[in-house]
Amino acid sequence: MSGIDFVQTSEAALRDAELQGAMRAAMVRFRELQRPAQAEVSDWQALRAYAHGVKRHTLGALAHYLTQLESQVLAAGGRVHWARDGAEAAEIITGIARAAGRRVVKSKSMTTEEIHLNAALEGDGAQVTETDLGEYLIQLAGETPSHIIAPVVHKSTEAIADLLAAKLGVPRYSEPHELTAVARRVLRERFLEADVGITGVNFAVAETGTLVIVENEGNARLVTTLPRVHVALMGIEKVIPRLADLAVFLTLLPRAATGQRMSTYVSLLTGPRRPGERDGPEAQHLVIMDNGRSAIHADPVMGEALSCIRCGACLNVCPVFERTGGHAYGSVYSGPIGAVLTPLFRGVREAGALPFASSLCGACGEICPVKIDLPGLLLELRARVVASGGAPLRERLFIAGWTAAASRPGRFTAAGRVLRAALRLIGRRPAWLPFPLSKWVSTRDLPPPARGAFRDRWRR
Amino acid sequence: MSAREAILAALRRGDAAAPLPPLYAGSPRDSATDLTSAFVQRAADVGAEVHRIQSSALPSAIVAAVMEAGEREIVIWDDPLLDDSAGALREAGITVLSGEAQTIETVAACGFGITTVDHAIAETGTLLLGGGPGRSRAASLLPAHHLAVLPEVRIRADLFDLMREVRSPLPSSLTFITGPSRTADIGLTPVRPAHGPTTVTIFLVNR
Repeated sequence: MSGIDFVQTSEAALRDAELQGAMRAAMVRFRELQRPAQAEVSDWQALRAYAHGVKRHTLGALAHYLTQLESQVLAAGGRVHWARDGAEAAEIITGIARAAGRRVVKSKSMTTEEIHLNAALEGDGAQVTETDLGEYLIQLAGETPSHIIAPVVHKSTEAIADLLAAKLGVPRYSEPHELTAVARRVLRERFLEADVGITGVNFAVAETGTLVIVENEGNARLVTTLPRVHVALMGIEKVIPRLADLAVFLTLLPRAATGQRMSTYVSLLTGPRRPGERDGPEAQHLVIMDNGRSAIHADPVMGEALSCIRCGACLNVCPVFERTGGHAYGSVYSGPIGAVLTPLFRGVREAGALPFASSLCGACGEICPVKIDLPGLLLELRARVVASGGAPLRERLFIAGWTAAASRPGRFTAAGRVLRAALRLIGRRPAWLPFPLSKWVSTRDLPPPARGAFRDRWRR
Repeated sequence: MSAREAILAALRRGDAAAPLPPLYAGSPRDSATDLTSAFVQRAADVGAEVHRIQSSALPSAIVAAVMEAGEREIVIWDDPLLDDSAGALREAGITVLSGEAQTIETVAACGFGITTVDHAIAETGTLLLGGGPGRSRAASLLPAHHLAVLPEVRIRADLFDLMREVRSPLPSSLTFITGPSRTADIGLTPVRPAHGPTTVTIFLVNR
């Protein structure tokens, strides 16, 4: 398989007027919502630093906290499974679904997207329904999500109206509230008949064995309340030590993600239903999955990336993401965090282009609610790409030339004179420039260079 | 080697714990002088409807709310706070599901779910509902209307104050509810409801 060619994949996005309009509006809106939500928390910076510290500690003692989580989930009556990779996780979940009856409802989970769980379940004969509105629309369209928390952000309302009319055979409604009502009606039936509910996990509390799920729509509550069996899939990095720390993480996550003071629903689930209770799942399964994470964890620099709480804030402030959308990143994780995680999951040979999909403006690092040094991690990955021989020939030639010219004063002065003369010449007739330099001036001005070098003037 | 052993072995190689920070003490927060009015404001911000009700008037207010919604079948939690109200609803000819009768199928047919609230958060307008026998999770989820009875004394300033009171052993479900269910997935237009209740009404009682 060839690697992710970001330049090529983003090219199509940049020409897609519908995508550009939808993305721009969405990102501006997200930023407008986020700003006041964070500003009204007077100790926002202290909370970020604290959350960073808790994550750092937890990642340094993951084996301890995962075994504590395991024993607490078991004590609460749940079952725990361990999966080395996506294939193992999919096999475990497929087996549970097969035994329970194969009608599966899912709430939004990036981790299940990561392992292509739906394909595995459907390959086994299960009927899988995504129930987050955005994910449902994506599933109907046969696409993949383009944003961590707003999966269908790349689609216009018009396109969604066409999609629902075509796929469900309903009249073509055009208002968001009508379209939402149609989906609610269809999905309510699926919830009531489902055998198995599958979710991700936002946080798993080690000291109590509690699974925490954050959402707005109520679909995750339905998925964890109605079916007889609940299966939760978590990456090993989702564990947190203490229940009380939820106060910090639940203050940070909604405000960073959607600019809400609190998400509409936060479910704290501790084991399956208990004697005397009339709803909630009879069986609860927690699947703890590695899938490349322990290798990241062992990396002294990049391990920090596992602190991510998947809020999507870094996507919303990224000038590159705003223009390309999520699909250009060739992975379920997009934007700055995707540009860090994907090369770590798949290797720099395959995804080495992604760390360069950044202007290094630093906005991602500033906004991250758990203070991941995203620009620093992107730079480190760039260095690794170059060290592994991943820099293109033209770039290596340019750097070699620059090194030769800049390392001796005489050469530097001479090179400056030649370049100034050349630029003045070209400035008069930019159309004469040969490819690939012609591409540079096709969308940019070429200002004439100064008469003499600053160093000459300084000497005078 | 089992998957469990393999993962834990790999993690132990990379583990090197930084100290666990002591619990967040927080910088002094603006503790609202009047928690109740702060809560009322913030709950309204997220689209919940809040009414102050005298405890003695609770049963009649609940019956009136159900009647106004035109519902004939309701689910209600088993809770001493609601005993009189359940009786008043039955007297008014409403079909009342309580206790063992609260299955998913029966609750799904109800248009109105009535619960109490364990705690509330003034800063965010949030309700905290703990599940258990006679306290159906679906009651605040499947019916179109959720009516929550909240004694004023259960309001806390913020999530930090509240989490100090949430202790192990936990019930099988604890649910934070902040307004009616919503989505903005289509065209970024906020829409209520998504999959949960259309309305959340809070009856604030003074005891």
